[in-house]
Amino acid sequence: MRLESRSVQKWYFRNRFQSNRFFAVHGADITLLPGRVSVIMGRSGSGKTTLMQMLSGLLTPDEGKVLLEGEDIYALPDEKLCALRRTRFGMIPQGADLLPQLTVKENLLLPLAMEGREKEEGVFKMTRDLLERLGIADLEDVLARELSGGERRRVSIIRALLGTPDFLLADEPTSDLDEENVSLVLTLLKKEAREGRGVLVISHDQEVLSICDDLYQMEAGTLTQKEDWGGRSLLNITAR
Amino acid sequence: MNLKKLPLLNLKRNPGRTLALVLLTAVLSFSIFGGTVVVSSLRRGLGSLTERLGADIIVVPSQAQSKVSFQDIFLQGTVGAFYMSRENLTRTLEVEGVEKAAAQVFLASLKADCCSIRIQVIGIDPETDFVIRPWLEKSGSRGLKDMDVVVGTKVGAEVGETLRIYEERCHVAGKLAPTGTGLDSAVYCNMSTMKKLLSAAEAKGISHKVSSDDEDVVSAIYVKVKEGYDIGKVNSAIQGHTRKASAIRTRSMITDVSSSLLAISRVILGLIGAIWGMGFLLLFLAFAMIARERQQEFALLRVLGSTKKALKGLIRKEAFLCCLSGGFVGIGLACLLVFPFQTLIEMSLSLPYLIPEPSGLFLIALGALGASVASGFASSAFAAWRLSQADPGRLLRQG
Amino acid sequence: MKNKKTAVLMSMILILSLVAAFGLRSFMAPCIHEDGSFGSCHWAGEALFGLSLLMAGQAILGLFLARGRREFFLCIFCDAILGVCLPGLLIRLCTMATMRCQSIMKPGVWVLMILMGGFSLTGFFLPGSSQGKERKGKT
Repeated sequence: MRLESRSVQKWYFRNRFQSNRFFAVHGADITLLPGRVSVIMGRSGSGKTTLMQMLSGLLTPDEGKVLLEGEDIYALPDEKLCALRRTRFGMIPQGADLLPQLTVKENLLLPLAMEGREKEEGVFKMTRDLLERLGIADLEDVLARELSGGERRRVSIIRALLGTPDFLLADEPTSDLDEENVSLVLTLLKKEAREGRGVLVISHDQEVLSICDDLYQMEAGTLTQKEDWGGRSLLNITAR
Repeated sequence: MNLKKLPLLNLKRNPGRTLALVLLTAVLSFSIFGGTVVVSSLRRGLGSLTERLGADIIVVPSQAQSKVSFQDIFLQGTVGAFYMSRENLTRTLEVEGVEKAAAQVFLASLKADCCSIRIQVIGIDPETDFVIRPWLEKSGSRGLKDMDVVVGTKVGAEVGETLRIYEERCHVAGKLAPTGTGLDSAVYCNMSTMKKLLSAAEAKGISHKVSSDDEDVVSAIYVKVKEGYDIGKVNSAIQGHTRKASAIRTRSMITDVSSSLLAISRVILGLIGAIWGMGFLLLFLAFAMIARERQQEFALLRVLGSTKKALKGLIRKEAFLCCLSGGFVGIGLACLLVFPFQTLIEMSLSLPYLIPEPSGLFLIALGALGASVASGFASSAFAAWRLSQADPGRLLRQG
Repeated sequence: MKNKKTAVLMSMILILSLVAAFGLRSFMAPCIHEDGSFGSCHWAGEALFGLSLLMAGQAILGLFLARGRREFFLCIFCDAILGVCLPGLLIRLCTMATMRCQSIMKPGVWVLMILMGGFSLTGFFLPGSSQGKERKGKT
C-alpha cells in the first residue's frame, strides 16, 4: 500500500494572456508508506498545499502522475476518485475545514454519511472518545460557525480519523492550536501511523518534526527529501 | 446526520438567504398565477356572455342611446331603465327570418331592504323567454310565481328572504349561478310581478309610460334568427319595421368586449412576461452569487468525497425546495388578492369576469408552481454546473 | 433567537392591525350614503375598527411582555377568526356584492385578518431555537 507522486507539476498563469507561467509544483516525487509520518516543510506559498491537493485527488496535475498502489488516480472516473477520497484518504484541509451551518457532530459524521456508514457500530463510541481526547466533547451540538480556529482544527482532525483511512493528509494541523493541543494532535497522528496508516503532514511548525519519519523540504515549487533525516525525532513523544 | 437532510439543513440554518430566494420565487409564481387567473376569468366571462346572450339581435328603444346603455346594464350591472311600446314585439315577430322573439322589461329600484342601493329588476315572460329561462332552469330555480323573484349571484339576498322593491314585498325563490356579467347584479321576476312593480313605481312618481295611452311597455326584445337567414339583413328589416327602436347585433357587442379583453390580456400577459423575465434574471444572479459565496463549502464537500453529480444534486435540491416553497407562498398571496377582490377587479376592468372552475384553478396553480420550480432549476443550473466542473483544490484556493 | 423571531412576527401583526384600523377609516371604509344614513355595514366597520385596535394593543403588549407572548399570539389568532367572521356572517353587509363594503372592506379585512391569523399561529407554534445549542463559552 503506497501513495506516490511521479514528477508531478502544476503551473498557473499570472496574467490573462496566459503567458507569465509560474510553477506551483515543479516535478515533485514523494512516496507515502504505511506506518510512516512524512512531513513537508516550507515557507508559505512554496507549493506544499498544491502538492497535497494533487496527492489527495483534488487537483489534477498538469504533468506527472499520482499513483495509489501503482494505479494513476487521475485516470479514474469522478465517482471512483471520490470513493477513494471517502474511504482511503483522510483529509485535514486548511481554511474551509467545516461546513459552517452544520453542528460539530453533523460535520464529523458527514463523510461517513456519504458512505452510509454513519450508524455503524462503534462510530458513536469512537466519536465520543476522540472528542473527549481533544477536549471538545461539550461542543458536539454547537454550530461550526460558532467555533474558534483551534476548535475547528480539532474537529476536522477527528473527522479525518473517523473514516479509518489508509492515508492521512494533514495541511497545517497544528495551526491555531495552543501548545497543549499541538502535543495532543501530534501524538494522535503518530499513533495513527503506528496503527499502519500513511501520514503526510504539511507544516512550517518545527514541532511537527517530533513525529517525523521522512522529511521533505519544499522551496519555490521544488521538493527535496532530507536524506540525512533518517527518522530522528526531536522530542521523544510516544502515543499516550 | 442523514445526507438527504443536508439541503434542508442548509436552507433552515441560513434563514436570511433562504427567505430572499423564497420571496424572489414567490414574486414569479404570484405574477404567473394571479395574472393567469385574471386572464382566464376574463376569457370565461366572455364565454359566459356569449352563452348568456343566446340571441342574434337585441332590439332596444332608441332612447337607450343605442347599445351603450344596454351594454352597461348587460356587462357592468349598471342600473337603468328605458321603455318602448310592446307593439314592437309583434312587429319584430312579423319580420321574415325571425325564429323567435322574447321581451324583457327593466325597472330600476330605488331602495332595497338594507342599504340605499338600486337594483336592476328584469321582468321576463317565462312562456316565450329563451335567454334567461335556460339559465334559471340550470340554476335549479322552479317557475316564477307571482311576487316571486330570482336573484343574481351578486345580490346578497338568500332564498326564502324577502326583498322590498318600491314597498312591494317580493319573495326570493332562487339564486342564479354566476355569469360574470352585469346580469349577476339583477333580480328577475315574471311579467305579472313586473306590472305590479311598475304600478308601485308609478305611485312613487317614476313613470315608465311611453305615451299616455300606452301602458304595455317592453325594454328589450331578444331575437333569434332562423337558420339560413342573413342576420345583418334581418337586423336591418327589424330596424325598419319597428318604431323608435334600434336593433343591435349581439355579435358586435361581443366583438367589442372581445377586443377590450384582448387588449387587457395582452397587457397582463406582457406584465407576467416582464416580471417573470426580471425574476428569472434576479434568481440567476442570486444563485450565481450564492454559489460564489459558498464556493469553499462546496469545495469542502468535494474534499470529503462528494461526487460532481452529488454536488449538482445538492444545489438542485436546495433550489427545488426554495422554489417550491416560494411557489406556494406566491400562489397563496395571489389567492388572497385575486379571489376576495374579484368584484373589485371586475368593476375596475368593466368586462365580464368569471373565475374558472376549481379544476381549472388547480391546473393554473399547478402550472404556476411548475413554472416557478422550472425557473429555479434553470437559474441554478449554471451555478451548479460551474461549481461541479471546477477542481476542488482550485475552489479551496479561490475561497 | 426564538425571541427575535416572535418579536418580528408580533411587529408584523402590529403593523397589519394598524393598517386595518387606518384602512377602515379611509380606503377600506364601509359604504358612504348620500343622505347621511347608514346601514348595518357601518356597524360591521365600527366593530372591525374596534377589533383592529384591540389587536394592535395586544401586539404592543406581546411585544413588550416577552414572557406571555405565546398567549398573546393565541388571543390574536382568535381575534383574527372573529375578524373574518364579522363582516357578512355576524354583521350583515349591504345587499349588492358590488357595494363598497362588499367589494373593498370585506376582502381587505379578510386579507389582513388571514395574514395576522397566519402570523399569530406561526408565533404560537414556533419551535425552540433550531440553530443548535447556544455556546456557553469558547474553549
